[in-house]
Amino acid sequence: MHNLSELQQDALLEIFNVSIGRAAAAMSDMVNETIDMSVPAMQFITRKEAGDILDLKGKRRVCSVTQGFAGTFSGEAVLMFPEENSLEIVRMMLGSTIPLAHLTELEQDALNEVGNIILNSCISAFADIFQEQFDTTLPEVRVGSGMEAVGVSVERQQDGVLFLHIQFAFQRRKIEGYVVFLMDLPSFANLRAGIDRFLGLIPQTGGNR
Amino acid sequence: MESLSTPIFLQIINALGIGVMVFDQHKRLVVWNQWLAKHSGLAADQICGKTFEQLFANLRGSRVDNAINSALLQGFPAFLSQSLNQSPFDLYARSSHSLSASLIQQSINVVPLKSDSGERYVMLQISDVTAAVQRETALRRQADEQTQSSLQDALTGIANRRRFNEKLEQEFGRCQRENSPLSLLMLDIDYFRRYNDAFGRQQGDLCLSQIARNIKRSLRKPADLVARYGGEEFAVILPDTNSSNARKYAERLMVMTAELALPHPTSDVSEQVTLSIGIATQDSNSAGDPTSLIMMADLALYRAKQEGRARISLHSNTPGAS
Repeated sequence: MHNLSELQQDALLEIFNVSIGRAAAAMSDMVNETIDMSVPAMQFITRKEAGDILDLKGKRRVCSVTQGFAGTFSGEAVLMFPEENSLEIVRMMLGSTIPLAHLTELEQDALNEVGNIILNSCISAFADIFQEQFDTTLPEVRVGSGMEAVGVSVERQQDGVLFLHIQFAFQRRKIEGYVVFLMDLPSFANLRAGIDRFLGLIPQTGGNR
Repeated sequence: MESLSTPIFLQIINALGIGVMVFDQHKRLVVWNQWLAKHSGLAADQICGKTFEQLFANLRGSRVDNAINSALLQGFPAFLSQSLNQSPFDLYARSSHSLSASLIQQSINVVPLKSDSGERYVMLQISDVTAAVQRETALRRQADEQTQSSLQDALTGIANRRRFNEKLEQEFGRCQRENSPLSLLMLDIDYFRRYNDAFGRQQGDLCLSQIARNIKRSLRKPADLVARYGGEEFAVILPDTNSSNARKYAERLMVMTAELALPHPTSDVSEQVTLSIGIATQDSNSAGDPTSLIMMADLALYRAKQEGRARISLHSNTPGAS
């Protein structure tokens, strides 16, 4: 898996940041408060490595929202938070204060909606990069371990994934989450090829963007 | 759309227990199923053909509108949860027994569709989640009550020790920050054990409740708190109160207790129920913490008892002063 140059990373990150900025604006409208979101970093890693990162943040439960996408490459986009982060985000968006330990059914629905807004914006970034529309499925919420969210069966452990770090900022709090794009091998190859083509238009070193 | 005019599909859509509405790429309504007709009072043949803007002017620019646009233009699906979107559509549960109809709590799926000829449509699926909302409201209320009761003394209904400790920490910190004095009173009922022995446990409980209620009545500021600290011991937190005002308060409380005139024949100090009160004050400019304040108030209470009961004693840092 070859590495992207800093300029190339920046180019990709910028597209994701613009898209996720739109998601943040939509969420801000919903709650009448300033919500900022950004994608500070991204990596191409294996499924196993992704599962490890998620579980490293303590063997705690993870809340995830998943949407399938299909186009020249297909797979699943999964937004993930450690459970207490998702509790925080949902409670802030709903303005509720009861300290129940887990998300209720309707709070899970709210997380589902938040996840949908964010994932749509990430997939829309792909749409911009590849100039195509992806067929996308409705979001689904799951609560479980990091490994479960990423779906690490033994055969798939070495599959490549695109791993995005997401940051929420509101009410003076910064909350971290992740978006992982899970794909099979042919799709992943198409994704890399497509990104290389797109980046081929970006100079590797020097020059202005 | 050829398939929609097929009778069996039409029947299925109209038999569904959820709302189904479909707009074409010009945002004109093309499907409005029976469930929606029933709960909106609008028949399909009345409104099909009209645009979203014409039918739902109040939803222009709303989350629903944006989701519909996103589905038609970019093919993105959306989920609109009940809690983040207050029931966008005017849909009511009609009860045959009452004249009033209640608004249905809605959970909405927005799904892009494409016909064989490549035309875009968007379907909105509306689910009634009113029951779930009611269940969760009840759950919250219960959780609320449980939290409340875990901070309440079961017998007297005033704050329990746990709440007292919380509150003292809170107010202590605040008074320090705001350079304000904090007074703490520890008080108990004189010869209470004899009272119980003479009148029985139930009467003793009644006496405790009456005293608790009386103390609660005597408090003047919302920030003041009375708590049951022990079996027959109470604590009163008076934020923003210096020792002189705390003493005045204690004197008033003694008078109010005397007015209760609860008979106590086995008391050595009076024919009625009386209190012994110890007061300690944390001045804004001295060091200290909640635990030592409690200790000082306790010591003052002890001294009040030593000196004959039915009296007030102030703790003082300066030896010799009273």
